Amino acid sequence: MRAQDGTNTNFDVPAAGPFGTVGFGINPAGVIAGEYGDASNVLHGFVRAKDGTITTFDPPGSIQTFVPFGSPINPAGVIVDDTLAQAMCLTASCALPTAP
Amino acid sequence: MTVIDAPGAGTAPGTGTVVNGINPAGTIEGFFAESNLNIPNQGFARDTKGTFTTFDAPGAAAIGTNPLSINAHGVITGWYTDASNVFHGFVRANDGTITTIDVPGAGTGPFQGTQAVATNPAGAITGFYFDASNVLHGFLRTP
Repeated sequence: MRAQDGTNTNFDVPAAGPFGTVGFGINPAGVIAGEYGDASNVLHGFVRAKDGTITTFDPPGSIQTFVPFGSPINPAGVIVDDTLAQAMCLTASCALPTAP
Repeated sequence: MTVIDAPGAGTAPGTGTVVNGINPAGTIEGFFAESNLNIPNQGFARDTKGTFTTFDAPGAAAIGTNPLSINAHGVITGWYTDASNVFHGFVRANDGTITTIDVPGAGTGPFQGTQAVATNPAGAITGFYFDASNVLHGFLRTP
Protein backbone atom coordinates (compact mmCIF):
# COMPACT_ATOMS: atom_id res chain seq x y z
CA MET A 1 0.00 0.00 0.00
CA ARG A 2 1.45 3.33 -0.94
CA ALA A 3 1.85 6.07 1.60
CA GLN A 4 -0.46 9.05 1.54
CA ASP A 5 2.39 11.30 0.61
CA GLY A 6 4.94 10.56 -2.02
CA THR A 7 7.95 11.77 -3.92
CA ASN A 8 7.37 13.25 -7.33
CA THR A 9 9.85 12.96 -10.17
CA ASN A 10 9.00 14.88 -13.29
CA PHE A 11 10.46 13.76 -16.59
CA ASP A 12 10.47 14.68 -20.26
CA VAL A 13 11.63 12.70 -23.24
CA PRO A 14 14.63 14.71 -24.46
CA ALA A 15 13.27 14.86 -28.01
CA ALA A 16 9.84 16.03 -26.93
CA GLY A 17 8.48 19.09 -28.67
CA PRO A 18 5.50 21.36 -28.07
CA PHE A 19 3.10 18.50 -27.32
CA GLY A 20 5.29 17.12 -24.59
CA THR A 21 5.53 13.83 -22.71
CA VAL A 22 2.84 11.65 -21.13
CA GLY A 23 3.29 8.58 -18.95
CA PHE A 24 0.52 6.03 -19.47
CA GLY A 25 1.52 2.88 -17.60
CA ILE A 26 3.89 1.48 -15.00
CA ASN A 27 4.74 -2.15 -14.34
CA PRO A 28 5.71 -3.83 -11.05
CA ALA A 29 9.39 -3.09 -11.70
CA GLY A 30 8.69 0.62 -12.02
CA VAL A 31 9.22 0.78 -15.79
CA ILE A 32 7.03 3.45 -17.33
CA ALA A 33 5.58 3.45 -20.84
CA GLY A 34 4.10 6.41 -22.60
CA GLU A 35 4.29 8.61 -25.62
CA TYR A 36 5.66 11.97 -26.63
CA GLY A 37 5.30 14.39 -29.50
CA ASP A 38 8.41 15.48 -31.33
CA ALA A 39 9.15 18.96 -32.67
CA SER A 40 6.62 18.33 -35.46
CA ASN A 41 4.07 16.93 -33.02
CA VAL A 42 4.50 13.44 -34.43
CA LEU A 43 3.83 10.92 -31.67
CA HIS A 44 6.35 8.28 -30.63
CA GLY A 45 6.48 5.74 -27.83
CA PHE A 46 8.94 5.62 -24.97
CA VAL A 47 9.91 3.45 -22.06
CA ARG A 48 11.56 4.86 -18.96
CA ALA A 49 13.63 2.45 -16.91
CA LYS A 50 13.62 2.65 -13.15
CA ASP A 51 17.00 4.41 -13.27
CA GLY A 52 15.49 7.16 -15.42
CA THR A 53 16.93 6.02 -18.72
CA ILE A 54 14.49 6.78 -21.53
CA THR A 55 14.35 4.75 -24.72
CA THR A 56 12.09 5.81 -27.57
CA PHE A 57 10.51 3.48 -30.08
CA ASP A 58 8.39 3.37 -33.20
CA PRO A 59 7.15 0.16 -34.71
CA PRO A 60 8.43 -0.32 -38.27
CA GLY A 61 6.35 1.61 -40.79
CA SER A 62 4.57 3.77 -38.31
CA ILE A 63 3.98 7.45 -38.82
CA GLN A 64 2.38 7.91 -35.40
CA THR A 65 2.77 5.68 -32.37
CA PHE A 66 0.05 5.61 -29.75
CA VAL A 67 0.56 3.92 -26.40
CA PRO A 68 -2.71 3.04 -24.69
CA PHE A 69 -3.78 4.40 -21.32
CA GLY A 70 -3.68 2.36 -18.17
CA SER A 71 -1.61 -0.76 -18.51
CA PRO A 72 0.36 -0.80 -21.74
CA ILE A 73 3.37 -2.51 -20.17
CA ASN A 74 3.33 -5.92 -18.53
CA PRO A 75 5.64 -7.31 -15.82
CA ALA A 76 8.00 -8.64 -18.48
CA GLY A 77 8.35 -5.18 -19.97
CA VAL A 78 6.44 -5.92 -23.17
CA ILE A 79 4.58 -2.93 -24.51
CA VAL A 80 1.38 -2.98 -26.48
CA ASP A 81 0.95 -0.07 -28.80
CA ASP A 82 -1.31 1.12 -31.54
CA THR A 83 0.44 2.29 -34.64
CA LEU A 84 -0.90 4.55 -37.30
CA ALA A 85 0.77 2.89 -40.24
CA GLN A 86 1.55 4.47 -43.55
CA ALA A 87 -1.67 3.04 -44.94
CA MET A 88 -3.44 5.14 -42.29
CA CYS A 89 -4.91 2.10 -40.67
CA LEU A 90 -4.68 1.48 -36.99
CA THR A 91 -2.80 -1.74 -36.36
CA ALA A 92 -2.39 -3.20 -32.91
CA SER A 93 0.96 -4.36 -31.70
CA CYS A 94 2.99 -3.97 -34.87
CA ALA A 95 6.06 -4.58 -32.78
CA LEU A 96 6.69 -5.41 -29.18
CA PRO A 97 9.70 -3.55 -27.90
CA THR A 98 10.89 -4.55 -24.49
CA ALA A 99 11.95 -2.34 -21.69
CA PRO A 100 15.64 -1.69 -21.19
CA MET B 1 -20.17 -11.52 -21.05
CA THR B 2 -21.42 -9.35 -18.22
CA VAL B 3 -22.81 -5.92 -18.95
CA ILE B 4 -21.83 -3.41 -16.31
CA ASP B 5 -24.08 -0.47 -15.52
CA ALA B 6 -23.28 1.47 -12.40
CA PRO B 7 -26.26 2.29 -10.16
CA GLY B 8 -27.47 5.76 -11.05
CA ALA B 9 -25.90 5.76 -14.48
CA GLY B 10 -27.98 7.52 -17.09
CA THR B 11 -29.64 5.88 -20.03
CA ALA B 12 -29.77 8.91 -22.32
CA PRO B 13 -27.28 9.38 -25.16
CA GLY B 14 -23.95 10.57 -23.84
CA THR B 15 -24.58 9.13 -20.40
CA GLY B 16 -23.93 5.72 -18.87
CA THR B 17 -21.02 3.68 -17.59
CA VAL B 18 -17.38 3.55 -18.70
CA VAL B 19 -15.09 0.78 -17.45
CA ASN B 20 -11.42 1.68 -17.34
CA GLY B 21 -9.62 -1.10 -15.50
CA ILE B 22 -9.66 -4.44 -13.71
CA ASN B 23 -7.16 -5.84 -11.24
CA PRO B 24 -6.05 -9.44 -10.65
CA ALA B 25 -8.76 -9.88 -7.99
CA GLY B 26 -11.43 -8.97 -10.52
CA THR B 27 -12.35 -5.59 -9.08
CA ILE B 28 -13.39 -3.26 -11.87
CA GLU B 29 -13.21 0.52 -11.81
CA GLY B 30 -14.53 3.26 -13.99
CA PHE B 31 -16.94 6.15 -13.98
CA PHE B 32 -20.52 6.88 -14.85
CA ALA B 33 -22.55 9.85 -15.99
CA GLU B 34 -26.05 10.35 -14.69
CA SER B 35 -28.94 11.31 -16.93
CA ASN B 36 -28.54 14.89 -15.75
CA LEU B 37 -25.35 15.90 -17.49
CA ASN B 38 -25.00 18.85 -15.14
CA ILE B 39 -23.99 16.37 -12.46
CA PRO B 40 -20.25 15.62 -12.55
CA ASN B 41 -19.17 12.10 -13.46
CA GLN B 42 -18.66 9.80 -10.49
CA GLY B 43 -16.14 7.03 -10.00
CA PHE B 44 -16.95 3.48 -9.01
CA ALA B 45 -15.36 0.21 -7.96
CA ARG B 46 -17.23 -3.05 -8.57
CA ASP B 47 -16.15 -6.20 -6.76
CA THR B 48 -16.50 -9.73 -8.06
CA LYS B 49 -19.87 -10.10 -6.33
CA GLY B 50 -21.18 -7.20 -8.36
CA THR B 51 -21.28 -4.79 -5.44
CA PHE B 52 -20.66 -1.20 -6.49
CA THR B 53 -18.97 1.46 -4.42
CA THR B 54 -19.30 4.91 -5.91
CA PHE B 55 -17.10 7.83 -5.01
CA ASP B 56 -16.26 11.42 -5.82
CA ALA B 57 -12.84 12.91 -5.38
CA PRO B 58 -13.01 15.76 -2.85
CA GLY B 59 -13.61 18.99 -4.73
CA ALA B 60 -14.66 17.25 -7.93
CA ALA B 61 -16.93 19.35 -10.12
CA ALA B 62 -17.42 20.18 -13.80
CA ILE B 63 -16.38 16.98 -15.63
CA GLY B 64 -16.06 15.15 -12.34
CA THR B 65 -14.12 12.07 -11.26
CA ASN B 66 -12.41 9.77 -13.76
CA PRO B 67 -10.63 6.72 -12.31
CA LEU B 68 -8.19 5.22 -14.81
CA SER B 69 -6.43 2.27 -13.20
CA ILE B 70 -6.53 -0.11 -10.24
CA ASN B 71 -3.67 -2.16 -8.85
CA ALA B 72 -3.60 -5.55 -7.18
CA HIS B 73 -4.27 -3.99 -3.77
CA GLY B 74 -7.38 -2.18 -4.95
CA VAL B 75 -5.69 1.21 -5.06
CA ILE B 76 -7.27 3.37 -7.75
CA THR B 77 -5.70 6.29 -9.55
CA GLY B 78 -7.20 8.80 -11.90
CA TRP B 79 -8.06 12.44 -12.22
CA TYR B 80 -10.83 14.86 -11.48
CA THR B 81 -11.69 18.38 -12.46
CA ASP B 82 -12.53 21.12 -10.03
CA ALA B 83 -15.13 23.84 -10.54
CA SER B 84 -12.66 25.75 -12.75
CA ASN B 85 -12.02 22.71 -14.97
CA VAL B 86 -8.50 22.31 -13.61
CA PHE B 87 -7.26 18.70 -13.59
CA HIS B 88 -6.04 17.09 -10.39
CA GLY B 89 -4.70 13.59 -9.99
CA PHE B 90 -5.93 11.38 -7.19
CA VAL B 91 -5.16 8.09 -5.51
CA ARG B 92 -7.88 6.21 -3.65
CA ALA B 93 -6.71 3.68 -1.06
CA ASN B 94 -8.74 0.53 -0.64
CA ASP B 95 -10.21 1.94 2.58
CA GLY B 96 -11.75 4.69 0.48
CA THR B 97 -9.38 7.46 1.47
CA ILE B 98 -8.73 9.77 -1.47
CA THR B 99 -5.59 11.86 -1.75
CA THR B 100 -5.17 14.59 -4.35
CA ILE B 101 -2.00 14.70 -6.43
CA ASP B 102 -0.90 18.05 -7.84
CA VAL B 103 2.53 17.77 -9.39
CA PRO B 104 4.82 20.76 -8.86
CA GLY B 105 4.95 22.69 -12.12
CA ALA B 106 1.42 21.82 -13.15
CA GLY B 107 -0.61 24.68 -14.56
CA THR B 108 -3.60 26.01 -12.69
CA GLY B 109 -5.70 27.28 -15.58
CA PRO B 110 -8.69 25.54 -17.13
CA PHE B 111 -7.75 22.14 -18.60
CA GLN B 112 -4.28 22.39 -17.13
CA GLY B 113 -3.08 20.42 -14.14
CA THR B 114 -2.29 16.82 -13.23
CA GLN B 115 -3.67 13.51 -14.46
CA ALA B 116 -2.63 10.32 -12.65
CA VAL B 117 -2.94 7.48 -15.13
CA ALA B 118 -1.56 4.24 -13.73
CA THR B 119 -0.29 2.61 -10.56
CA ASN B 120 1.72 -0.55 -10.01
CA PRO B 121 1.49 -3.06 -7.12
CA ALA B 122 4.09 -1.12 -5.16
CA GLY B 123 1.95 2.00 -5.30
CA ALA B 124 4.15 3.95 -7.70
CA ILE B 125 2.03 6.21 -9.88
CA THR B 126 2.72 7.61 -13.31
CA GLY B 127 0.86 10.14 -15.33
CA PHE B 128 1.31 13.54 -16.84
CA TYR B 129 0.58 17.19 -16.29
CA PHE B 130 -0.14 20.21 -18.39
CA ASP B 131 2.06 23.12 -17.41
CA ALA B 132 1.02 26.77 -17.55
CA SER B 133 1.85 26.80 -21.28
CA ASN B 134 -0.24 23.68 -21.91
CA VAL B 135 2.86 21.57 -22.55
CA LEU B 136 2.68 17.98 -21.30
CA HIS B 137 5.26 16.42 -19.00
CA GLY B 138 5.47 12.99 -17.45
CA PHE B 139 5.75 12.29 -13.77
CA LEU B 140 6.52 9.42 -11.47
CA ARG B 141 5.27 9.45 -7.89
CA THR B 142 6.82 6.92 -5.57
CA PRO B 143 5.40 6.02 -2.17
